[in-house]
Amino acid sequence: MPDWIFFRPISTGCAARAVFRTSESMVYPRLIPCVLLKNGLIVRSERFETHQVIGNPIQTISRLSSWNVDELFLIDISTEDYHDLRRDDLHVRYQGSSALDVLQEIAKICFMPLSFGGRVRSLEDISRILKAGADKVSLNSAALASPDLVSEAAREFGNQATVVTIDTKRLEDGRYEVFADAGRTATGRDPVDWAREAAGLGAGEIVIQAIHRDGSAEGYDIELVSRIVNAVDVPVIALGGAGRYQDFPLAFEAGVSGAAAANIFNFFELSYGMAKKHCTEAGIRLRESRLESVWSPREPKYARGDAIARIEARLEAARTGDFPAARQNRPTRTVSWCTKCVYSSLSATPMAFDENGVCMGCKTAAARSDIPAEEWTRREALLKDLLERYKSRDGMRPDCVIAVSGGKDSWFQTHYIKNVLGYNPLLITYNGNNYTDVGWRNLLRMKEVFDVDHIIYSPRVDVLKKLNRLAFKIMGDMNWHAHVGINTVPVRLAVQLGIPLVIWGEHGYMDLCGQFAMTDFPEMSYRYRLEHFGRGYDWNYFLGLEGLETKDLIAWQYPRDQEMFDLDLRGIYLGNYVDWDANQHTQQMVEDYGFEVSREPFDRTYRRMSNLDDMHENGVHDYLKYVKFGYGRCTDHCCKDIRSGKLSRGQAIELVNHYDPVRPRDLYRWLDYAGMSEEEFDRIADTFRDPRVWWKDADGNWQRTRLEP
Amino acid sequence: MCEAGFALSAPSSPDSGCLMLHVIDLENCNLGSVLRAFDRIGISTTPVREPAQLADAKAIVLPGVGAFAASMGKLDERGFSPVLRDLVQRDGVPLLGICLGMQLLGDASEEHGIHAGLGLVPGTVKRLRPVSRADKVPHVGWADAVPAKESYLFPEQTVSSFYFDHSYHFDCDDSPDIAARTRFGDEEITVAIQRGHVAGVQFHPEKSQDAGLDLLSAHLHWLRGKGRL
Repeated sequence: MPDWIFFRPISTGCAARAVFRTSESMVYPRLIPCVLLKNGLIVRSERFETHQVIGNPIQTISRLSSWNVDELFLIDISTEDYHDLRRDDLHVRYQGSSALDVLQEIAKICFMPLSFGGRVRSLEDISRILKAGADKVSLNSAALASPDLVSEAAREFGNQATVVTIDTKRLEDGRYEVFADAGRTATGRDPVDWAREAAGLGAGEIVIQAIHRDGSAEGYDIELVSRIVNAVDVPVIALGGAGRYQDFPLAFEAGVSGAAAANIFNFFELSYGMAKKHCTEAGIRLRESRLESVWSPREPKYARGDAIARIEARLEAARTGDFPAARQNRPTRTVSWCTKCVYSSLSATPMAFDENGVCMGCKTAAARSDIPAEEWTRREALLKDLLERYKSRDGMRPDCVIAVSGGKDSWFQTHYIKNVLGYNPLLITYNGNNYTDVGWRNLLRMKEVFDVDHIIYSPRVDVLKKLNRLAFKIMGDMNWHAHVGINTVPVRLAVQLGIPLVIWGEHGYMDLCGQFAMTDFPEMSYRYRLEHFGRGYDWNYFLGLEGLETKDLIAWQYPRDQEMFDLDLRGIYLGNYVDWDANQHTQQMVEDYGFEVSREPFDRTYRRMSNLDDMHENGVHDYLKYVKFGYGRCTDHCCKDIRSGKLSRGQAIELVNHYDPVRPRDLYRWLDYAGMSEEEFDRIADTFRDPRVWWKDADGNWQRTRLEP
Repeated sequence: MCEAGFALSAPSSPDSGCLMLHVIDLENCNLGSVLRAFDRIGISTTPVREPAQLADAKAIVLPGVGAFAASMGKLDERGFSPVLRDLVQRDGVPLLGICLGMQLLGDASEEHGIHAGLGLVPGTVKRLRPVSRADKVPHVGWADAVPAKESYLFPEQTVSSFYFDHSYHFDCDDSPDIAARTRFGDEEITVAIQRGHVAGVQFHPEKSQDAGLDLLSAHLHWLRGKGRL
C-alpha cells in the first residue's frame, strides 16, 4: 500500500494530528488539461499542422473548473489578433480580439494555477499576462532566439512564474531536435541541452512537447520525457500524445511533475476524473479532485433579469428593425466556400479549412474512406469489447441503451447491435411532438421489427410550446427542446435504470465538419451537449420564463456527474466503429426490414430519408439556419453526397441555390402551434441575420453572397 | 469586456454594503485573483490603498506575494503598520493574511537580512531547508495541509491539498497558534496560523479550487458568527 494512503484524515471530533510516513516533501504530481486557442476558439491540433475548431473556451474551462483540476495550461497559437466568434445565437460571447482578452475572461472562472503560453516575446508581455490572471508564463521561440529573456523573466517575476516550453521532433534517424515558430523552424538544438540551459537560466519548469505525437493519441514519447527528467532538477511537464487514460501513469512513472494533455479532455465525459482514477489505481499519488465543484457548478448560473432583458432587447430590435445586418449595405467580411464541397466559411458548425481551401469535413471524410477493411475489423472488435464489458451479467437489465428517433440511423443502429452483434438493447426516444406521419410509423414499428423493448418519453405539450416560443426568441431556433432533449433523455434514463452504455449513431460534427480525427473516438459529453446542442443554454436558463418551473423541465436535466462517474457511463458513437454509409444503410433498412422513406419530397432538401422524426427540423428550423447564415440543410446533404461521390460540385451548387432559400410549408403548422403571426416571426427571425452574410440593398431587400456555378 | 447576460461567473450578489471585506492592496499581481475568489463565494470587497480607508473596516484581508522587506516597507511607508496594529489589537478587528500576508504578521523575517514584521503573531519567518533533491525551493505546487488544532480556518479538521508557492515559512513561537502543517524536508512546517482573531495561510486559497474557496468560506462563516459581517 502506498504511503500516502495513511495520509488521510484520522480523527473525528478531536484535533487531527499530522501523520507523515515519508521524509520526502509532499508536492503532488499534477494532471494538467491543456487548452489550445486559435483566434479565440479552442482547437484540436495534430502534429502542429492541422487545426480543427472544437468550440468556445469559456464553456470548456468552466467545465474544467467544475472538475477541480490541478492546473490549466493555456496556449494561444493564433498568428493574428482576430477573433472569430462566429455566431449571435450563442449564449456565451466575449468581446475583444486578443488572447489576453480571453485570458481575462478565463481568470474569472478559474480558481486554479494558470499557465499561459503563445507569442510571449518580452518582459512587458509577461507582466501583462500575469496581471491578467496567469500564475506562470511559458516562453518558447522567444527564449530560443534570446535566452537572456529567461533569466530576465526569472529575475523580474521569479523562477516559479517562468516556464520554458520545448517543442521537439523525433527525426528519421531517431535523434531529437528542438523546433521554433510552432514547429516550422528547425534549430539544430538538442532538447536535453536546451532544457539544461533553460533551467540554468532560471526556468522554474520545463514543458517538453513532442510534436511528432501531437494529436496522435499514441501516448507520450516516454524516451524523450525520461531524458529531460534525468537532465534537470526543475519540474518537468510532459505534453503531446496522451490519447488513453493509461498513458498518464506511464508519464508519472517516468518522473514528470505534471502530465498535460489537450484532446483527451475534450473528447470524453468526466475525462479528468477518469484519468485520475486510472492513475490512482496504477499507484500514482495524485491530489484528490472533487468531481462536482461547490463553487463552480456544472450548470451555468444565469441571471434572471439578464435573460428577460435579452429577450426584450431582441423583441425591440424586431419591432424597430434596428440590428447589425440591417445597418449595413455591404458585408464586412467575405464568405468563402470549400473548394471541394459546398460548405461555407461562415458555417453554423465549427469549421476549419486547410491552406488549399479544403474543409475539414472533406479531409475527415477522405481520411475515413482511406481506412482499410482490417481497421474496421479492429474497430468492430473494440466495439464488441465495450459491449462485453458493459452488458448485463444476469439478464436483470438491458445490455445497453440505443438512443433512437426512429429514423434510418436508428434502424441501422438497432439492426447492428441486436441482429448483427446479438445484444439486448433498450431503445429510448425523446418525442418532441413534431413527428411526421411516416416518421411516427417507423418509430412505433421498431419494437416489432427488431423484437426489442422501447421507451418513448413524451414531454407535456404545453411545456413544449413554451420552449418552442422562447427558444425561437432567445436563439432563433424553436428546436432547442429537441436538440437538448434527444441528447438528455436517453442519458438520464440510462443512469436511472443503471445501464452504463448508451449508443448513438454518427457524431454529427465529425461527419459534417470533421471536428475530430478518426483516431479520437469522441464520446458523448455534457460539454458537447451544452455547447453545441444547447448553444450554451442549459435547461435552467428557461426557469421563470413563461412561468416554467424546475418540475416542468425534467426531460432536459442531465444526470449529475457523480451519478455518471459511479456508473462509469459511456456514450459512444457507432460511426467510430462501423463503416458508415447513410445512403447504403437506408437502402438496406428499406429492403431488409421495410423502413419507409417519405413519399412526399421535403421543401428544403432533395433527400427523402432524413429527419422524419421532426417536421420542422428539415423545415422551419432549417429555414432559420438559412436566415442566419445564408445556407441550409441542402448544403449539408450536398456536402455529404459530394464526399461519398454521389454528386458533382456543379450539381450540388444548382441544388443548393434552388433549395436553400425555400420558405417551407410547415412554417404555418409551427405558427399555429406556437401562437405567433407570420409577420412577428419574420421580424424576429431577421434580427438573427449574420452581418457577415446578409445586407440590405437600396430597395430594402435582403441580399447575400451566394455560391455561383 | 463581457456583454450583459454573460453570467457563467455570476456569484450570488451581496445585497447590502455591510457585507464587505477590506482587502489591502499592495499592488501585487495576485490581488485580482483574491478579489475574484471572494466574489465567487458571494462577498464584496473593497481594495484599500490608504490606511484611512480602514476606518470602518469590520474585517481585513492582507494578501501578498514577493519579498518580505519590500511589502513591509510599503506597509510602513503608507502608514498601514500602526493602523493595522491598533485595529487588530485595540479594536479586535479580525485579520487574515494570505501567503506573504501571513508572513508579515510575524515578529521578523530572515529573508535577505533581518526585517521586522507587524508582530501580531509571535514567530519568525525562515527559509525552507531542503534535505534532498526532491525538496525544491521555491516550494511550488499542491501539498496537503494537515490541521493541527480546531480553528475557524479548518472547522471540519480534514486534510485538504492547497496550492503553495513560497521559499520561506512561518516558525511559530507559540505552538498553540499553529492551525495546520505540511511536510517539507525533514520538518513539519507551519502553513496556517490562528491566534484569536488573527489568522494566516501560507498557501494560495484563491488558487486552490474548492479547498481554497471552502477555507475562505469557513472564514466568512466565522466572521458572520462574530457579527463582523
